[in-house]
Amino acid sequence: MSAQQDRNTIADGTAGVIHAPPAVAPNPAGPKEILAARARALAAAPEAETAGERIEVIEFELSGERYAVRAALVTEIFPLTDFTPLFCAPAFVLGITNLRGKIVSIVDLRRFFELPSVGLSNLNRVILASDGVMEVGILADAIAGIVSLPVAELQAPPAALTGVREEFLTGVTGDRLALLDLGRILADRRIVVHEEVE
Amino acid sequence: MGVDGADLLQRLLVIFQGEAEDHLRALNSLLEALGQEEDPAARKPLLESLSRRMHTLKGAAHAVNLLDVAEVCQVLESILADVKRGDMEFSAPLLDRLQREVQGLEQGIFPGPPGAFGAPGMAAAPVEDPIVPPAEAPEAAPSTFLPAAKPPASEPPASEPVSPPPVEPIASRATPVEPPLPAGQPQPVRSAPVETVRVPVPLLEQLLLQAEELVSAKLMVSSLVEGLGELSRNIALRADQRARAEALARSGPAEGTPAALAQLIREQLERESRLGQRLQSLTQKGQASLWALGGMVDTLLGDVKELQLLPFTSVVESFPRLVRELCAELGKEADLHLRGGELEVDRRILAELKEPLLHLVRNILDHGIEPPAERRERGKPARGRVTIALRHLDGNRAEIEVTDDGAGIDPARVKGAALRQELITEAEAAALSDAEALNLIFESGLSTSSMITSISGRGLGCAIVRESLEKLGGHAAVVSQIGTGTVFRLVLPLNFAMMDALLVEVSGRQALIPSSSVRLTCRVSAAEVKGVENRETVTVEGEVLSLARLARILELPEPEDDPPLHQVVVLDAAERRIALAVDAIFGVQEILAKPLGPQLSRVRNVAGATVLGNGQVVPILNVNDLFRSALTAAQAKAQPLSGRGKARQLSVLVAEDSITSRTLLKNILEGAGFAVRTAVDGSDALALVKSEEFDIVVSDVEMPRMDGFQLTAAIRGDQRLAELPVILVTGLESREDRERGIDVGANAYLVKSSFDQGGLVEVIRKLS
Repeated sequence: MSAQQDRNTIADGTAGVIHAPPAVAPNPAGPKEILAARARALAAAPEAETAGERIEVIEFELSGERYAVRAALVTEIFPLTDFTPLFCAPAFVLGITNLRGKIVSIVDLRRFFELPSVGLSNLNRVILASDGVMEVGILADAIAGIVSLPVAELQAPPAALTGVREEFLTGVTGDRLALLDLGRILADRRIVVHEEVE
Repeated sequence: MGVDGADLLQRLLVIFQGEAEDHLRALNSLLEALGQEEDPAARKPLLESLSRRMHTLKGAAHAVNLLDVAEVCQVLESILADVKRGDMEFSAPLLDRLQREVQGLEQGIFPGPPGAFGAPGMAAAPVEDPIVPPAEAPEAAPSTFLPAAKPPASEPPASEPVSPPPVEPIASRATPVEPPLPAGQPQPVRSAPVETVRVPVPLLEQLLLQAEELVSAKLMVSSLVEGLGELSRNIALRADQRARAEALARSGPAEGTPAALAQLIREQLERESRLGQRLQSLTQKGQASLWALGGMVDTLLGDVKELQLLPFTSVVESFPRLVRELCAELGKEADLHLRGGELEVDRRILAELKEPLLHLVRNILDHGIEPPAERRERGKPARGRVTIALRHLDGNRAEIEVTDDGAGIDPARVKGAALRQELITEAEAAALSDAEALNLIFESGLSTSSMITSISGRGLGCAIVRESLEKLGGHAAVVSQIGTGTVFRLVLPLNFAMMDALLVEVSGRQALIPSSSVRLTCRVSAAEVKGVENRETVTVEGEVLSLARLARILELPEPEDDPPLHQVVVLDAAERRIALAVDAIFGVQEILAKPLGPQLSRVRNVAGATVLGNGQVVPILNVNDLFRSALTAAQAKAQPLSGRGKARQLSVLVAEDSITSRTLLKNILEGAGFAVRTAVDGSDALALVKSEEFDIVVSDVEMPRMDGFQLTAAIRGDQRLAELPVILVTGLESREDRERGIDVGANAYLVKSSFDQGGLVEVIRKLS
């Protein structure tokens, strides 16, 4: 039972953190203002900073939309210079590439999310994600960088959205940055290709 | 058994836990998938996978004496079989029960504090991940972003013990279980168990020395780079002299010009000869470096591979014990003999072999070996004899023979069972030879045993054997004599690493076929292809073989017209032959086979991939799959080959700097029947349109060196090309750009984000 109490204590601590007033008020203004606000928040005295209040995310662009994934599960990011399309694989598998002697599979999230219209874009970066069991390269147009995201800034995705993508959406920020749940994507059975010849 | 036995059991238990974790993980995710699946037909394959996993887990639990776990597995397997057959209805409470039983198994296998099972997040509050707020959080928490995942405030935290739901646990062992995780809760990060290998210190030291040697290789390369740099500076100087000479020559005949020219030319000649010498010495140096580096890499690779080798005994050391225990359970008597245990095999291959061997031995003891009384009646010794023998076949291949002196397998019963289970039709059954019929036991779900016991009988064991062997690039076969016994032959590679493979091209893509399965390659003229019952056949070496087109098997676009000569690869595996038509055959290469990674767990027709000398990644084909696909493709073939449209193939040039967009465009357009060439930027494209004939150009706007606007302007500026249609494809969606595109003479301007594949194809057809 003492372990139980310990957990409660931890939970209480976390709860306190989560309920702390947002460092940055949700702001529908342009990205510049938000960045400036973020910069101010970052520059502010760190005494209010506690683990859990901010999360490190990698922000990237995909067909003009802004996404982010938590940095914890990202092993590395590399430019896609060459790849080989793979026969008999589902459309969301772009192909395979050679990363320092290891074959890495590359997934086009837009197709995995079954987005209705997938136009062309400059998918030139690969975010290599791994949870120790699953490892997959995720295509991105461009990487904006590592952002420290205040948890309080995240809002629930609009309830009206019910696509595959929304299943993996953790939340969106006021400036329309969509945070994807990378752990869930990696653990999802649908991302695994396991097909036999009928 | 004494201390050694206990020690062995302890070791086995650790190995088992590693394996079980895998199975439990798979079981959990399969159950979850099953819950999400609404279509009963689509549940079938999931149930099938669940049964297999359960079956394997049961066998493994047996081997380490976790009889309670095995018992629960057995019950669960029966339930799954009932559901699969439709004897039991699938329902939410049933799923719930299955899920809880699997968690019960987890606890049976991993005793100790909750969360000991490799997943610290399972029982503890998810502190690491603040996505789900703790249950105490008031409803009005200002910053929750996944409300669905949040348990209602009234619900106790997931980790608190709850009163067991009113469903009875299946077996005594399935004691208090953790309530299932609330849906939507993020899955904890679970890391795979880390395997360890013992390495003799001398080998380790040797490896370190070799790694240090590589430093000298680095120095050699850096000196080469230096030499090359000097060379290119020299060439720049030479260009300088040339320019001066040209200016001098243009300045016309004047006093002293010829002499000055001669002087310049002489200087150039001298420089050239120095350059030549320098180049020669660099080439020699390069060759020496290659030689030295080659030696280092080969030795290092050989030694590192040796790290992966383990004696065959290591995988079968637990088997005699298993046989004793099973015999006791079944009331039979048998001895297990091991041969070839000292042969060393790649660790990864051994890991794959354990499961199939386990299944075979269980099957043999349960069905093959007769009870002692029956054996005596037949004039055999009361103790049965089971032999597992590993022997080296050739080069990189070995064979495991699992032999028993039991009852043998009756081909008629196998046929009967296959018929009952509708695996084959009456006509097919009649056409099958006895030897072919026997090999049906490798089909999933086929069991000749009328009695399902805890040891075997569900017909999964042999299917698992075949699957594992094929995954390794080998195959399994069986011969049997009723009354005298059965021999299972498993052919497998000794190590994964190097193998010979035939490089072929099909529809513009390259692929490798393992040489061990290639009988020969030849050319067959189109006239020699005969249609027999809607199937194409060719005669090679006097044998009529069915002709399969690799492009069709791999779902690639096929050429409009048949070439006058087919390039044919004759495949030979497990006593079957087939002729495979490809576009080009390049020859045999020594390759290093690599797995495709965890995400591509199994891709149809593809066994793995390799990196060629030029850095290109090329898939390695799965020969066993090719045989199966060839059958399906032949059946699916609807239209005769000659009856297709004979319209001239349009040739398209795609200029695009992004590798992904370029490849996607190429695939889309080739899929639509165009011949496609690609260029990496505007100037590359311009060089191509000047030297080759194209019907249309599709170009990106933003490209290095020469952008799409400049390319279009250059094409319009060339008299010969002025009429060539140009489609600009762009991410820029501005009016000015669109106008600029029209100004420079583009015929169409498509915005990337708004066009779909069909749209582009339509525009191309319209314009060309």
